Amino acid sequence: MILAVTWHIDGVIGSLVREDSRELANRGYDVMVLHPWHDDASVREGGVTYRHVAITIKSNVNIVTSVISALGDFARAMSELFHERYDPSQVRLIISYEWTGSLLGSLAKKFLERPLMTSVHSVESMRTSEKSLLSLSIRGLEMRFLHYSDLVVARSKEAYARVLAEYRVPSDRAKVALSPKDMASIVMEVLESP
Amino acid sequence: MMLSWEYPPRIVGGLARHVYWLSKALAQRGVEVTVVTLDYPETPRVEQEKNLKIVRVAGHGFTSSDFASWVHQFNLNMIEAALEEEDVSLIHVHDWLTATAGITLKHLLRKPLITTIHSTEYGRRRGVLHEELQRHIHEVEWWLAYESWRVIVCSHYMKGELMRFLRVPEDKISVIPNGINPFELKLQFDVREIRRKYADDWEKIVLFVGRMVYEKGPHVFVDAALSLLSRRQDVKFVLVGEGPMRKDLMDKVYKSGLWHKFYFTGFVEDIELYELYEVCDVAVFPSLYEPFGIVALEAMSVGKPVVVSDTGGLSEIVVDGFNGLKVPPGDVRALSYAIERLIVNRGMAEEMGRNGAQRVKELYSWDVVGEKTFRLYEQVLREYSSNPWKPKKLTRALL
Repeated sequence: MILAVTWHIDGVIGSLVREDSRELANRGYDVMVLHPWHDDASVREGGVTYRHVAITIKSNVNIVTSVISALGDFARAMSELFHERYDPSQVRLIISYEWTGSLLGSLAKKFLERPLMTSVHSVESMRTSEKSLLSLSIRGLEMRFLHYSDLVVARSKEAYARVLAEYRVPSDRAKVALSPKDMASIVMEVLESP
Repeated sequence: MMLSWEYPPRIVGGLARHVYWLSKALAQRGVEVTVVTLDYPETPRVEQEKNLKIVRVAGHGFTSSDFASWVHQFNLNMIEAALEEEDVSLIHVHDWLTATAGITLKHLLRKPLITTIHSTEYGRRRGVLHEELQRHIHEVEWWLAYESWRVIVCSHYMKGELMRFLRVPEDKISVIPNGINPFELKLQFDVREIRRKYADDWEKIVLFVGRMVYEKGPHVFVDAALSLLSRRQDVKFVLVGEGPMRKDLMDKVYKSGLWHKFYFTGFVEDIELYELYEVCDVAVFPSLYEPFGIVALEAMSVGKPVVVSDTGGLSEIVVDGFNGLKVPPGDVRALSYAIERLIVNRGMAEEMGRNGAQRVKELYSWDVVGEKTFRLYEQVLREYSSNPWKPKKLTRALL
């Protein structure tokens, strides 16, 4: 099983998550996507299982507090999945999306003791040029969790360059995937490597 | 495993001392306690003294745009450190500041979560949650109580607050009072000499101890003092504590022309506080909101009669006429007459002081509080052992 963890299930990142997952499912992998939603249900779609995670905290101080507060909800979902339904050893790889998914995915890595791959569509410096405390805080979290990832997969050449230059991720732990097919090939390569 | 954002030497409020003495009391009963807390300059990351282990994680080294994101980010560090610990039987969290770590660990480890809620945001803000941060804290408190197997509060007043504001079911709440460490150190000092630092020999000393914030009622104390001074002059009022109201109150006293009858000490160290408790004649705690009222216990522990407002935890600590006097919260006139009663009737005041010291020993020592907490742990673990909610997959070392 490949466990994908994402904070975004709509918009650009959401599309990427769905396309990557579909591509992996087409190649015969069992994919489960954990994402925030209004309930704790599971939905099967295009060969992929989407496990909703109901988010308890609705107040919105900022994105950092929202994502970290959701850790308890993601822990609840993982606990239910891997203490009750699946053997944790069935999970072979965790794929997280952006710093938000990577923060939540780090919990899965710690819990399941499986490698964490982080897909980076953009980093904070590509989204904003401002130097607010919130932005600096996000950069700090990106730095922390990109380094916590076993492999960083940039989804554009610009993102790749920034991951290397601004975040100092070693080049042997960073790759580029310009399409879901590229991403699936990288996943296969990781899973088939000794 | 206990989670607390403060633990000595990091002392911000009363929580640090509470967790310190409780963890010690539990460890003395044979419980293996690990406290995960924030770091402090020049303290080791890990300390172990017999079966009490302190693990400190970084509370710095990351940027935060606001208080909540700082709190949540250090919770990330706590989760990481806590997952390194083995054989956790239960998780005990203190207040919302470690809620994220507590709830996350509960689910990952599938171990019971116990929470002590020392006060609520709703109570602290007197029911008005203007800002998103306040609403966030309130929401996190609700979630923490919801996720907990049992919730501990320090008074029946707080139990009511949790039932009303956080909708916690009554049978999920245990009332275990805060403990105090009576000033065991009987310092050898000359009482008369210390007394003279604050008052003339012919003056009685009336003491207020508390933060200078609205909820502690320092303004009620000053008004009652001015009222009493209009009837008699043989009294000196000493106010211990810092806070935003201090300057305004000092201005008010100055303008009254009775500046020489007041002494604002600001923050004082424990030794000086102990001296003040020893030399005062009456200690007064006129809080308008008070979940517990540990300062009243401190005064009682050294045998002083107290006057408290009939609210919150203070109501439960003081039995009117037995170990102190109670007055309606905010009632300046009643407060000034109650203080006067204890100044005039010295025999009655001394008897109340003795009763108070005895009551502290019987009900509020850390030994008693540790025992009650230990019994609650046992009860929770018994319930847990017969509950199907458990870690099923024992494939990982930490489970």
